Amino acid sequence: MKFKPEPEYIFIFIVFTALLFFGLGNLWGHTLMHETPTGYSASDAFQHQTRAEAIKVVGNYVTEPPWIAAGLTDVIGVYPPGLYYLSISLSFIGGLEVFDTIYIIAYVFSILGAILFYYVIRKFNKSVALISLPFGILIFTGISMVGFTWGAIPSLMAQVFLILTIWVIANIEIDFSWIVLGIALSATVITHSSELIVAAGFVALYFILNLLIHFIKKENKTIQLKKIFFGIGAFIFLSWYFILLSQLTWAKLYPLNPFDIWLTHGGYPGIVNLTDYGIILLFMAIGLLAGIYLFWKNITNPPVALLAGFFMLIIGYGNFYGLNYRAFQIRYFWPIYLSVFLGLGIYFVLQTVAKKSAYQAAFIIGIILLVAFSGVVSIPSVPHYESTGSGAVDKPHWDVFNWLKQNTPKDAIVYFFYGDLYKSNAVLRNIERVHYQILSHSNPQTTADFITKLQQGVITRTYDSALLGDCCGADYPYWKGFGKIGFHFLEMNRSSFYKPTDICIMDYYVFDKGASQPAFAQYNLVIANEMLKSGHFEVVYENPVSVILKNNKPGENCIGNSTA
Amino acid sequence: MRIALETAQLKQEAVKLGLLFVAALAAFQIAFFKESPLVVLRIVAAIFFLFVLPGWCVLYIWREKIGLLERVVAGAILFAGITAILAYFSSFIGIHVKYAVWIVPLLAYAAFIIQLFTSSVHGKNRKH
Repeated sequence: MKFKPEPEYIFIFIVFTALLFFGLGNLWGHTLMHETPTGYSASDAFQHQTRAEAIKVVGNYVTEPPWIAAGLTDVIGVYPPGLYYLSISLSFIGGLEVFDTIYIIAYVFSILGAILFYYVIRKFNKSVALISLPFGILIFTGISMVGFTWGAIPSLMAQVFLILTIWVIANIEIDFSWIVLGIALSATVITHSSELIVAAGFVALYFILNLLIHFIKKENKTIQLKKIFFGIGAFIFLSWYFILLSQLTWAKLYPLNPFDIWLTHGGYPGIVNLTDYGIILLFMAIGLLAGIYLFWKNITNPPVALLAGFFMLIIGYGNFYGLNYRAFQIRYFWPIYLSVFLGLGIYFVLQTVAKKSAYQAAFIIGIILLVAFSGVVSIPSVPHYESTGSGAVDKPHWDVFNWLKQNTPKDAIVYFFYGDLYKSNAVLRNIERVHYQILSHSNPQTTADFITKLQQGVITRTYDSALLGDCCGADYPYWKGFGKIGFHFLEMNRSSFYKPTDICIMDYYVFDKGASQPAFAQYNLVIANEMLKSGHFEVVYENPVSVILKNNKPGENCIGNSTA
Repeated sequence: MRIALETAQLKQEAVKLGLLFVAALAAFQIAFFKESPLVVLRIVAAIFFLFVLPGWCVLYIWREKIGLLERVVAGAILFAGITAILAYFSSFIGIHVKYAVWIVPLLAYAAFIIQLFTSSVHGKNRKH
């Protein structure tokens, strides 16, 4: 057999390599294996890493482990776990840590999602697809990249399954496509439930469109309609339990309100806007207009790529009609969804100058766009890739977490005094023990208490503290009865988790020796010395950044009211 | 005649999958050029074992409708979905995730081999 590589395959290989190089490659300094979590810039990012790690340890996600649920043992695992299971799979088989594999899965599958969308566009027009594909590189820069490093990776992975849904709709006439549709929808809901609303909306739109064509234009669409119907049946069969859980928890806690308008993505550094795309917005506008015309012209067999482009553009503005900040998450992947308009806009212009060799020219333009978007050659007003800073847990802190995980009893309670790193408090779940924190940066009350005492120069036995866990997403849901779910966080009152706490009842204490505000670290060490004076404390671990004390008599007085 | 054609196609696709594996290795090694080739090999092999090959097996029935690379890409994403669903739900019947990650792709391989074997033994044309 002779091997003759097709130019299209080579083009896809180049784009795949470029996206991998500029996406995860640059973020990770072109290494794959790390000693500590690398590329994590927010607490949410650690939330996913630690939950995946917990499932790997426990073996299932029937309930949340106590260290993620403030010591509660009956909290149901309701966070969509699709991405976690995939990263665990790769960790077991590939031998890397979950904090690495969760990113490998998210980045590699995002690239595969971009390539799959290329194939959706290719069904519409090969040249347009070639021009469109390089635009995908922009998911790894600017605000879109925030989606990866700030903890929106389950949403991004769910969008990969959403792209699979779009792809199968584009191939709905093939036998057994309804099974793939059912799996794609189930995988979406099990990875990030809110994307199911988008996927279901797209399927519903396609269904209604075909229904109208069937009855108004008298084109036979029975096969398409039947398959979508069966696909939805397969989806319900595969994921009824998770749909039920989501309905009883997320849908109840966060009902969609069509009059809810969001203009900012709270806590996140900005939102993706169309204006981010600079001069190429012009080509996208041309593509959009050409798309409307072509869509209408082919209304009896509407191009799925165009339908998806229109739909995802409108969904991206869902922040104005009830989709709240979820709409901003969809925008992270606009460089994929809207690439069809860029491709079509350029192709439209290209056809006027090189009609006969448009396909060959599309290859060349595809490569030029890849170079331009990657920032290798910077062109004014053309958006391009820019390297993003990489957050990481430093090795000494990681050693502290590992020491606690490996050397303390499973039921030990750990107390964290002030540490700069602990602002992203989900990182503390890496110790896999129930833990408190003296200063919850998300809670002004505890901040005030800590700073007041520091300013007054006093050390007390009680400090306002946070009993940490993933409290505020699903509010610690538990089975209250058959088909009934209660919420510990709502029922127990918030003050059960944020309150003045006797610090002497803990088993282990972590004190950071340095801080951005030196006074915080000095205060830490004064408290540590005071505890050591009590006689029943010992230093069990120490490194250049932290010290861990063990309390041999939890509950006994460990500190008197004193002046620092 | 039909069986011979299918065997030839299977062999051809297997060779192309091998080339795809080499291409994926090259892409990963370029993107992570500071990493040891052994680590890169391990990860690429794991991705192929877990998602790419089982996905290809599952979508092999669409070989006459859809090209190889498109099937491989869609198949990998599809099988990631299957893995997520099965690994999650198998934990409710007590299967630890460390076993599920092996069982799920192996099931796809087994089903594919059985299907190939039965169709060649009975000389059936697979309907798709």
